[in-house]
Amino acid sequence: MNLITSSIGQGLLWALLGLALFLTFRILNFADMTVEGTFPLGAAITVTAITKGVSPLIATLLGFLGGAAGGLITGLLYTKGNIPILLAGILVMTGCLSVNLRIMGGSNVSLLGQKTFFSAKIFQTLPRYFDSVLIGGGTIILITILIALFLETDLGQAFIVTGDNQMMAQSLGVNTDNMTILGLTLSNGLVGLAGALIAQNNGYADANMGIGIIVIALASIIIGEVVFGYLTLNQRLIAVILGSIIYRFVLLIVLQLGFSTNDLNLISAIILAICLMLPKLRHALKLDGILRKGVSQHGK
Amino acid sequence: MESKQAVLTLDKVTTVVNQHTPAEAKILRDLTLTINQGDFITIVGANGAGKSTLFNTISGLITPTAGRILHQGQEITHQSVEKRTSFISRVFQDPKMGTAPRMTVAENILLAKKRGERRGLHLRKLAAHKEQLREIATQMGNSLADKLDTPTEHLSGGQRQTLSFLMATIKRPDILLLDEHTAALDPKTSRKLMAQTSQIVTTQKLTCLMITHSMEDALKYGNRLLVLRSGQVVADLDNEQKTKLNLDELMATFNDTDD
Repeated sequence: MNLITSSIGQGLLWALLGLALFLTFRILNFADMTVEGTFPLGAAITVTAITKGVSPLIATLLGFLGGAAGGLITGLLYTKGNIPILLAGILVMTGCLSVNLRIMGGSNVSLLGQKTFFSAKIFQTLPRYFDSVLIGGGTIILITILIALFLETDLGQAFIVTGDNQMMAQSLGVNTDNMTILGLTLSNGLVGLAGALIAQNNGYADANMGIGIIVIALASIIIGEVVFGYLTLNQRLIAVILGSIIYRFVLLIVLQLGFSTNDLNLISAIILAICLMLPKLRHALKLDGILRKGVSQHGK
Repeated sequence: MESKQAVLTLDKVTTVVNQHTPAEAKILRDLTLTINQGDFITIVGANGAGKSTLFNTISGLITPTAGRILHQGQEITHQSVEKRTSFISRVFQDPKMGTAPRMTVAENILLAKKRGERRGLHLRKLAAHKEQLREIATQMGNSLADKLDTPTEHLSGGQRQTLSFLMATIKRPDILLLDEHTAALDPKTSRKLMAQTSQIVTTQKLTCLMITHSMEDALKYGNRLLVLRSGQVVADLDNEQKTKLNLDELMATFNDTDD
């Protein structure tokens, strides 16, 4: 039971990362590598601030702002500097590695004995791992509603159309450069927020905690899409969250099978690769036909 | 005839592409053109004559290397593409260019209603606009009204171009640029959209420039005809001259292109 609660809690916390990447990967249509730098950046800022006596709420907001600043720089390099998006992301990510070490003054900082979101009194009375479920769930509900509302505004629509058809967006008077910068800033702000919350949950920030997280984020997006199929935009946001939770259950099963936590990055990469190839595999193995046959036979 | 009011003036406009590279080429040469209110201009010219460059210069994608562009007397030579969209709208040849594929027909139209306007944090209120959008779509025909909630990637090329045209005209532009907008369609669909175009441009008294490769269309539609050659206007015929002109004569102006 504990393991299941823990997986749901982790899934909810990490879902924030999936939602953040959804804004760039699915709406703006590119993979933003910045997140591997802004995730530990958010964590580093927040954890360091907390150890310096800043309240967890303010510290977490600072983590958001730090991530947003990283995204803003990637956006400027990409749109104004004409650096390809993949490279712009890698540049900022690499730069963040040094910045994070500077902020933390070392390769990791512990939160032992510090006040965090997760050390609040009410959580002490609850069963184990309920703190991450409640904080993760609360944050994800709030952020999902905010994103959904934003996408329904005129500005949000201009953001969506920028990713969908840049030429047309321009011909309708949308400043696509600004929309791209806005998307990268928002997305990386949320990534910083995710880093801030996950570091508080872990009890420490580590300079290497960003490695491989883009794969984790993409996995929750893709698993959501593979499992739930064709959906409206708002439903797709929910699918990302559920995808993130499913992904945690897959990891749980993998660990139960006897793999070590060191194997997780490889396993995550394999899961993502398989999910990405699924449309092609389906076609090649004629899985669709087999499935349809199976269903129609049941129907008879 | 009442005195004509100039909507857009190109004053000795020269555009050079790939400047300072071996591929440097002068596309428009000292081109002077006044577009008046209510003009429905058809534009013909061989490949490389500068038709598309003319449109790109008017819409702001290309900044002239020399000369001025005036919109209702105001100089707009260096105004950005986004700014100009408040008075210029454009339909492209490629049906994929004019519509957002993953967004629905209704969402596309709603986006176009605010062409060139500031887009802030106001809710777009899609549901509240539905009936109005359905009415507008119904007038365009081509079963667009039944597809309001369909992503435009699932539409036919003809439906997409019809939608693109609707989107370009839903908020009245001072100048409508049609860049061979029926060329990618099958002959029947193409004729239908062309007839619809002419009807809407005429009844709404829109000022419109239309590039076409079809000499018949160039003669049949519009009230003014321009022949472009090597970046210059070599013939500018008003409605009267245009009506007198026949296909062979037009072909003749057109054919001594290779100089």
